[in-house]
Formats: sequence, C-alpha cells, structure tokens
Amino acid sequence: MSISSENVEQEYVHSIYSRLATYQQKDHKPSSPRIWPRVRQFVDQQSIGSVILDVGCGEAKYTSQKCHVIGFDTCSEVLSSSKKENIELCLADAVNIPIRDASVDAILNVSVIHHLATTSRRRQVLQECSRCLRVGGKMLIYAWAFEQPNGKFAAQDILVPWNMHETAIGGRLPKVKFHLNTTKEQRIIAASIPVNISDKSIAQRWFSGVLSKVTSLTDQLPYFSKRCPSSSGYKSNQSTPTGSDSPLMAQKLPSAAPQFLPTTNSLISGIKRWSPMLGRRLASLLVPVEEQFSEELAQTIMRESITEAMATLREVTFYRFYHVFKEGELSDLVDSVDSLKVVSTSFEHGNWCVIAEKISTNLIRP
Amino acid sequence: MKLFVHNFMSSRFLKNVTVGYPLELTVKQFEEKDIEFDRENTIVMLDKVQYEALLVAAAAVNQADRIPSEQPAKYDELSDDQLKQFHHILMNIDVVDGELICPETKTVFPIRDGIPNMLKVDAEK
Repeated sequence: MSISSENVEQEYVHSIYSRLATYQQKDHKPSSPRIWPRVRQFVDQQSIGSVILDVGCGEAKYTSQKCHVIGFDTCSEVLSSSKKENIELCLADAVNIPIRDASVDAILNVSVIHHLATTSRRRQVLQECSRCLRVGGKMLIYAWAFEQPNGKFAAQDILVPWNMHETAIGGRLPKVKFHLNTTKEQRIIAASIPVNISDKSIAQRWFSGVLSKVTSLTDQLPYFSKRCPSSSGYKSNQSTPTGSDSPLMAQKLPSAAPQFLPTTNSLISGIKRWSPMLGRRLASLLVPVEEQFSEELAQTIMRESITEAMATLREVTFYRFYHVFKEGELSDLVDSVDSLKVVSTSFEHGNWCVIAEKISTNLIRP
Repeated sequence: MKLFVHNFMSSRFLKNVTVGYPLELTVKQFEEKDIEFDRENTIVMLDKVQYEALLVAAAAVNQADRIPSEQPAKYDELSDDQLKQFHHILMNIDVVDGELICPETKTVFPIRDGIPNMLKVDAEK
C-alpha cells in the first residue's frame, strides 16, 4: 500500500467535511455562516444577469438576486442541508468542472485550492476554472497563508486540528476553559502536523514525516498529543492511508476523525469512557426508544445525544489537510496558467487573496 | 435544478469525451415556480445561452411550444410576452428528479432533490 495525494484529499478533506457537515444541520447551526465582506462585494460587483460559479461552495453562503450563482461542492451532506433560494447547487469536483468552455462571467474560488495536495492538482483547478470563464471574466481566489500574524506553521503541507468542543451548539459555544494561555488560532497553528505529500515511490517519507512530528508533539504538547489514537481504545482505522504494511506507524497516525462513531455499541462505549453518566443515560434510552417510538424519532434523539456528547468531549479532534501558501506563491500559480492574468493580490486575515482575469491566449501568442 | 443550469453543463471532463454538449435531459419530476420577470436580466441570460441546448431542455418538460424553434435574430426586439416565455423555461422550471446523460458515452448523472450529481467517481461506478 502506498499513499497518493488523492488519498490524502479523500481522507483528510472530502470524508472529513462530510463528517463535519452532519454536525451542522439546521437545528444545530451556529447563528449564521461567516460571510467574507470582500467576497460578498465581488459578487455584488458583477453586472446584472451574470452567471457566477462558486467552486467548493460549501454552505452556499454567497447568493445573488440579480445574478445567477451556480454553486458546486463534492460534499453531498453539506449541499443537501444548504438548499436555498437564489443559488443553484450541483455535486461536482473542482478538478473536473462539468461546465462548458468560456461560458461563465465570474468564479469564486474561496478556501478551495489549499485543500489540494500537490502543485499540479492546484494548477489543474485553476486551469479548469479558466476554461469555464469567458475572456474578460474574473476569478476571486482565497487560500490560507503560511505567514500568520498569530503563530508559525512548521511546514506548508499540514494536518490541522479542528476541535469539536469549539463548535457552537444552538448558537452557543460550549463553556470550556483552556488552561493554556493562548488564542485558539495559536493553538491550532502550534498543533498542526507537517506531512510530506510525495509520489508513491517515496511514500515512506510521508509516514516518517508524520511519525517524527507526532513523536515530537508528544514531548512538547502533552495536551494535544493525547489525541493520537494509539493510546485510547478507538477502533483501528481501516481507511487510514498507512496501509497494512506498516502496522506500527498506523497506530501513531492521527486519523482524520475519531473512530467510535460508526456503530451503536462502539459509540456508547466511547461515550461512556468520557462521560459515564451520559453513557448510562444513552444506553437506557436506546432499547425503550426503539421499542416505543418510530425509527425517525429514535434517530433524532441519537443524533442530538451524539452531538451533545461530542461537544463535551475535549478529547475529540478532527484533522483536515491544508497546503498553506507563502507570499507570492498564489500569484505565481495563477501566472503559470497561460490564460490567466493577476489583477490584484492582497493579504487578509491570514489569507492570500488574488483576483485573476481570463485573457485571450490568441492575443498573447500572435 | 433550474433549466438554465442545463445550458451551461457539459460532460467534457469524462474520459474520451470531446464535446459532451448538450447533455441529454430526462425529467421525472419538476416544479414550476414564479420567479420575478426582469426584461434586462432575461435578455442578458439569453445572450449567453446556446439555443440548441435550450430547445433540448424545453422539450424535456414538454414545453418546447413556448419558444420559437429557430433562434430569434435579436432578443432585445422581442416583446415582454415573448421574453416571459423564455424566462419561464429558463428560471421557473425547477427539475427535482431526473437524469442528465452524456451525449457521447451515455454516462448517466442523476438529479435527486434538485441537485445533479456530476461527480466522476460516482459516474464510473
């Protein structure tokens, strides 16, 4: 078994977003998703009747009444919970955009390409976007920056922790006191795990990179290192990209999501370990509920219990893959696509932002 | 999925597909909405539309008789009533359940709950 960039994206991007989407369904949704003013402004600047593609639209935050927004994402869970007026949704992949050539007026590419594992795949996304844009059409690109005002990433290819207890439930953040005198952002950056995304032939370097960082984390950051599934009773993760040829390393790798969710039994034992009271209550509910109520009601109760339990578990951490961009890297990547021209570059709240324009390739190559 | 979306979609990303346009469309269920008509917006949209594909979409919901079978020379010379027929096809008809089909490989992309699934991995299963 070896690891490819697609495997990293599958495990640490696609499946984890599907997982997270199930915790953000309507009844648990934090008040409203964060709208970025610059993105809103870009959408509002488009002329009446424009067709705008939102690549990796997630919760479909950017709708428009005077334009026509088509949002697509690979995550069906987030799309089906995001249906609303003034936006059309589609399941599709940013590296294979199902749109005809030179047909759309503008593209949003917000927080997408930092989830792709190699330079060639990131460029492929930009090439696909450019193919769909009409000449003169503009694309707004945001990607997370390596240069952070509140911390320092150890590398550019990283697994970034996302802690369940920092999720709002019913619009409120659970009250969890941190013993570390740091901001959330600093903790997240400090706890990120560098990875080597490499060709299959040198896959072992990836494992050893993760392994060494996990080991050093264990020494430096006892709070976060507890998350590594090796020490707890989590079920071994069949889908971890380490494969069976390195069982020792498989124990050390942080899996993208905690592994006690899939079955009822492992769920209850998992919860019991962290909250015996809640575990007992859940176990006592389970049988009578299934006997007395419809399946639907039982599922609702289970879902709410799981969400409540998950949020109280400080031990639960999800990991997402990011490639963070160094200064100039994003505009260089845009420039490497023949049909795109950088219009402006800026740095905003820890992200690099580039506005690119589709140019006629006939003109630059007479 | 509103019918105007069909006009922009292509299966070109599939292996061995050269054009992948227009996609064939079968509609099992659709809703008719009442989206506000705007003359300018409709003309702008029609200027982007490929007429041949628009006829395919209109035929899929048995409403091809609402619009001319030949592309009008100038959209901005059409009356409001004529444009409203286009507006109805493009914006009011919302496909809930159906299929988009690649014209070359006949790969089927299902539309469920109004959301077309154009993922390559799913299509290749």
